Amino acid sequence: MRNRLIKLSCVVLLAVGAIILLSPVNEQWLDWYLIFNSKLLNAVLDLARVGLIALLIAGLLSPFEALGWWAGWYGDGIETSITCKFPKQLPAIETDDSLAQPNQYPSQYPSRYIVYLDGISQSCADYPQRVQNFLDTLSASLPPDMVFIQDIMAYSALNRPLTIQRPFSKFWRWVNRIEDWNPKSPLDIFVNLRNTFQVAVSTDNRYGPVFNRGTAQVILNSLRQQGYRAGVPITLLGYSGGAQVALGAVTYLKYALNDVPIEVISLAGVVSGNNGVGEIDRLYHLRGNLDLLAKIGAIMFPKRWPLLAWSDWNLACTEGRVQIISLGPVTHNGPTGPIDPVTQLPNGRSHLSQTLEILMSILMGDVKGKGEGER
Amino acid sequence: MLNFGMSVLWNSSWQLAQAASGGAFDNLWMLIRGALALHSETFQSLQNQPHSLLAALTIVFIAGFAQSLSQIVVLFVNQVRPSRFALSLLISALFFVVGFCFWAMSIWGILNISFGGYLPFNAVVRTLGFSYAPLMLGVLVVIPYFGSPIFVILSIWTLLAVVVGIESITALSRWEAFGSAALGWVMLQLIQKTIGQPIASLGQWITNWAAGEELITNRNRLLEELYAGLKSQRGLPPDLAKKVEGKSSLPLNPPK
Repeated sequence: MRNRLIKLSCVVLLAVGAIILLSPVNEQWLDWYLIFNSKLLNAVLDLARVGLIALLIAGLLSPFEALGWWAGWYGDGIETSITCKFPKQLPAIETDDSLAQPNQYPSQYPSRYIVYLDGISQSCADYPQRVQNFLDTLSASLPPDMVFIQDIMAYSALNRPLTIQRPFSKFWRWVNRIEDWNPKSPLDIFVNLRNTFQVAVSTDNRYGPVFNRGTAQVILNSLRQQGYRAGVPITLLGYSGGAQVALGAVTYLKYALNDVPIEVISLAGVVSGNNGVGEIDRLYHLRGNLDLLAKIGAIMFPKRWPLLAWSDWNLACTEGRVQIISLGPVTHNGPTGPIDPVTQLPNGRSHLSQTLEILMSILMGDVKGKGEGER
Repeated sequence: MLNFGMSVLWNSSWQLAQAASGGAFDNLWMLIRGALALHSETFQSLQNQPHSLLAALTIVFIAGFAQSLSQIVVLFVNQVRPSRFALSLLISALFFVVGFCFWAMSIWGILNISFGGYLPFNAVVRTLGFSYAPLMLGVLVVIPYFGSPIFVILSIWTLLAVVVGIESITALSRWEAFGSAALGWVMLQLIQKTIGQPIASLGQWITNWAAGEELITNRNRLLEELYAGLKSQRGLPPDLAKKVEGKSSLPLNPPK
């Protein structure tokens, strides 16, 4: 009852806030600070207003990459030149008849394809050190018959990094240089905001189908480049917003690959529960108890509210297709996040080793059981 | 050449501004702010201002343009070219103005039946036109995920402005004003479903002409379009494979 009251209050506050912000009343309240006659305060608040307007413009422009791709406005389709890492132990595979006869391939062929979709801090194919360390460790832990694809630009229907072939690519390269020089720089907020809008595009009922179709095509291209053969199970491993992108692509991948088994692992994922969940064979939702963003995701998306028992998310939970796995006292990212190799849990294990152990259990099929009640 | 073009554009804009100067256009922003703030005095004052009818229709056109942005997905999924995309938005905004005029006409009819005296048609158009001011912010509907709640808020805001506007130019109470707006909307729906069908067909024909193709507007069919090209051409029926071949933006990337 209390939770519902809080949610209702939030909705009312949001509505009132939007009306106040958009109405002429804002002229009165936005200029209140003039009475302080402080140039510094004026400058700071004017900057904040400019920032808000810039944010609005960024939001307005965010759907156009995916929409323009589908309409063919950019001419050259999806970027396929970014090579994916191919495990040395597997031979190059001829795939001319890749869709011909499922399950008719020799035993050295892959038993599973794992596709990694990074979090919202992704701006190019070079991952931050912590993420790269996680990917390398996971890659080394995988059995030789599993193919790990990890170079997909999750927030671009064109599979195009922010740093090349874009109007603002110079800006993104500058942000990356500053980040390389000073990892604690706050400039990564720009990348996070840009990619958060792409997650919003993925969840949107209008643009989502087009964006998700684009990312599904990107994943398909990578799978085909890696010699994917029909019938081989796929695991989409999405970190943070990457989990939403993964879920969005599931419906199209299922169609394209003749209903192949697809599992999604959401690592600290922020997922809307309004697309892909209905088609999913199993979703493993790994989240820390201190992960605020994952909690906000559960509040922000109405389809995940327990109140809407008929939503895809809640039906999947009821049917046991969604399994929520707690990571303990772990936050969303950074030194206290799920992939940090240094920070330790109360039991002495590092966050990374716990996460890897859970991931390996899932991939090796050792995690069984029904979805938990918590949503 | 560029300078010449710019000077022609500038002169034309200046002449248009001169033509529209004075009256409502001089105080346009103030009037819009009054309408947004639901001030009944604003709706009363604009009745006597020169050019207020043109100003009202301008507001409706801008609102229509902003509204048409919320439907851009249809144009994109249909793979409309950029120039035709812009033309389609303009045509859509013009249709919005036409639809508005029909709605104003039906409300005008109802008001003159229920309201004791005679209310001029242009007074209704002026009032309703300025009531559409909140919809000028309809461009915000493009924002992903938050667009739909923003649309609901703007629609309610516009309805409130319509009610306040009707209340301020008639002797009707607030609820009566609301009732006349609602009845006008019902009457518009009836007209659209009956005698308005030929006009709707003509509108669809013009929309398709602007887009350069027969637009698919049904949501389920639009979603089906997105599945084209996902499987390799070899696995597709010949007719669909042919269709996929025609879509230059769908790289099939045969496996190497």
